[in-house]
Amino acid sequence: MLETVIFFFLAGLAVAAGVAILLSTSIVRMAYWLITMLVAVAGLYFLMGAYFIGVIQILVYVGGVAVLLVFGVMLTSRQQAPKLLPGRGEVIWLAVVGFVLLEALTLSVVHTRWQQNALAPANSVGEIGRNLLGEFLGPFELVSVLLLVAMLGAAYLARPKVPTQGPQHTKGTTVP
Amino acid sequence: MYTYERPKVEYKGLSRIIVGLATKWGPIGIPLLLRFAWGVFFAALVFVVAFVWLVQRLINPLLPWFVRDLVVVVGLLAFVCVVAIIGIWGERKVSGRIQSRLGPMRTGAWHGWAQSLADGLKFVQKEDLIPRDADKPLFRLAPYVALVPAFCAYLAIPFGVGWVFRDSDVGLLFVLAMLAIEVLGVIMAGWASNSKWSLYGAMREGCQLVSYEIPMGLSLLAAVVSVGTLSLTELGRIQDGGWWSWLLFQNPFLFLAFFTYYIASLASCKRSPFDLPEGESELVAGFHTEYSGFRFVMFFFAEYAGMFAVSALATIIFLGGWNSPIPGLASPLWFVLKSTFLVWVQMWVRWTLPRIRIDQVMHACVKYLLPFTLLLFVGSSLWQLYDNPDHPLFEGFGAVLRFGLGCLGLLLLGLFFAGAAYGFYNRNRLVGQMVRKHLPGA
Amino acid sequence: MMGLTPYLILSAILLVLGIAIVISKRNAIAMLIGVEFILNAATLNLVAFSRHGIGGLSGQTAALFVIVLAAAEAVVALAIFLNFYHTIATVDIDQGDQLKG
Repeated sequence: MLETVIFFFLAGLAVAAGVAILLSTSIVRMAYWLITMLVAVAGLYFLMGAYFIGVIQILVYVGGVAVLLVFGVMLTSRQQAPKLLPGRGEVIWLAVVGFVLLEALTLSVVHTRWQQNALAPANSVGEIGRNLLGEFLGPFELVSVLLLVAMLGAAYLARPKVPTQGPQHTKGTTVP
Repeated sequence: MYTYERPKVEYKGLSRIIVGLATKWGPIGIPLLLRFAWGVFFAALVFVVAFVWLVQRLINPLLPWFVRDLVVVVGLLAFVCVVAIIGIWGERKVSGRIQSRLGPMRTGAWHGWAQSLADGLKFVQKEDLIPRDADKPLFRLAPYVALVPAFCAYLAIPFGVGWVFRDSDVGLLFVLAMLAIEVLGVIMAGWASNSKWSLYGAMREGCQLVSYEIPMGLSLLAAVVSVGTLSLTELGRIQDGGWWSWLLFQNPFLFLAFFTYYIASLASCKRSPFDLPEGESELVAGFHTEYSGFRFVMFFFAEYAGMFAVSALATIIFLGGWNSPIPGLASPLWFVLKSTFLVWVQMWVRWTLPRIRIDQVMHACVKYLLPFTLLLFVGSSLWQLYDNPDHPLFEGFGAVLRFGLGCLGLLLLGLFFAGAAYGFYNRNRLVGQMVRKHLPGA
Repeated sequence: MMGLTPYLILSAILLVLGIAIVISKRNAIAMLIGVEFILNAATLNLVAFSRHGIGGLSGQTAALFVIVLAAAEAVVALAIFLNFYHTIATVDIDQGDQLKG
């Protein structure tokens, strides 16, 4: 009973965050609703018993990715930026496409006969670690290489450029 | 001539009730409370014991887990508040003594112990300002986003065997995760204040916190690698056997990891020498410039709660947690004592070292601390690989090194006490012109 | 108790919300936020299946990889967007049509 209440609270929070982002016009508010959604999903992981994934979600997503996004927002937003709203035709198309997709997914989920297992006992971190170094060793090494490449790429892309006249207001090109 | 008339403040709702009660009963109640302070203290103690007994007898059989959780959470809240209050008072006394003055001496008869309470009362009745163009919901939300994770970190910290709210397999990572959410509260505060200085403080703090999380985590992982579990209770339990079994002395890499963790945790708590975000002489007050009254108190509490939390983590992982130096007398009091000692050292460091610039901060992290902690982590893993009965030669070398580290630890402790004794013995000669007795009228 | 289906329906809703955000927003960072929604929906799905006994531990390990990859992708995407912002002084992606025929 309590589990259902907590699930609906956290799920409602995540969905409300998504809807709030759709309806919002300020990019800073959107970033903080994203953080709300991430914490709600982390709460759902804790509810399901996947404690390690929940903690990693908070550490990496909230403590890393969300902070990065907030930094990006503050570096690229000015107080007098125009509000970028979608047009009316776009909204209708979006609603139709979204509704059709949601219906397809939900009906396929509801009509499939899943094995109705109860929650498995909580996995320990050790099991996940052994899995990483056993069955998933290949992906583990590949992901570490990928992280290295991503770091190098981002460091190169974000390097300080030769100073030009600053951001151009025309749609021309600048010296990289 | 212009005379300033203080705007008439209309209190509404709960604030009105509180202010009314305080105005009516305050002038009688507070002197009474201070006069019978010892009596109130003992009465509170008796009341708490009676309450616990009552709960155990009557309510516990009905809803066991809920009542236990509620009581523990309330107890932790009270502990965090007491830690913050004593921390603020202690900071002012320590800073005073380091600066050749006495610190608070008037409020409360003994060395101004009630200074924090008086400060709290002062903050509560300050005007609650929100800048006109500030982002109001975010401005109001930011102190909570900074304070609540700092408190949630205490939910996974064990004060003794069995003295923990929830002992989980990933306790260490949980505490680190909670301390990582605080960044967002600070950035939110800086942005929502709609002021250049707050934004600078917030951005600097974001960079600093995020970059110092890595050496912090790696130093702790060096210890985790040598024990093999992320559970804080297990990490503490492994060190019960006297001071030579503390993780600090198992491994030269762990010995150094303790110091790198301590330095990284100083940055993580925004304490000097890394206190640029609240650079007092540069940015007015950094990211909490525009916060007044109770909102500022929440940031302050968050800072002291975070300080104690990182010290508690260092205590459990490196200094043996609740185990005493002599095997056998484990108790939560040792844990609180050791954590308080580390917090005290944090205060020393704050009032001794100058602040360093943000580019020096990042330089120190990325170019010095991060490679060093990586080396410590690799070294600790290799030590773990070779320090087992398959390699008797290395094991012997390891035992000798551990003995040497233990002696080094004893030596440092002896130096500490020798210095303290020398300072105490010559205390009248060393302080110079400082006033050592109460001020007249205090 | 709760079973598997509520988690799957929630993940479907989050997926559709994420797609809607990606489609309807013109701010580049808002698109990144939508992509985070989509990735979180997929991860929730993976972990739900793993915890309800289908697929063993692979679900949680794969979820770990998804989180790591999402972090890497956010980093690179943000670096690209910052370049974009320095070239064209706006984050409106509709203005990025220099290569248009």
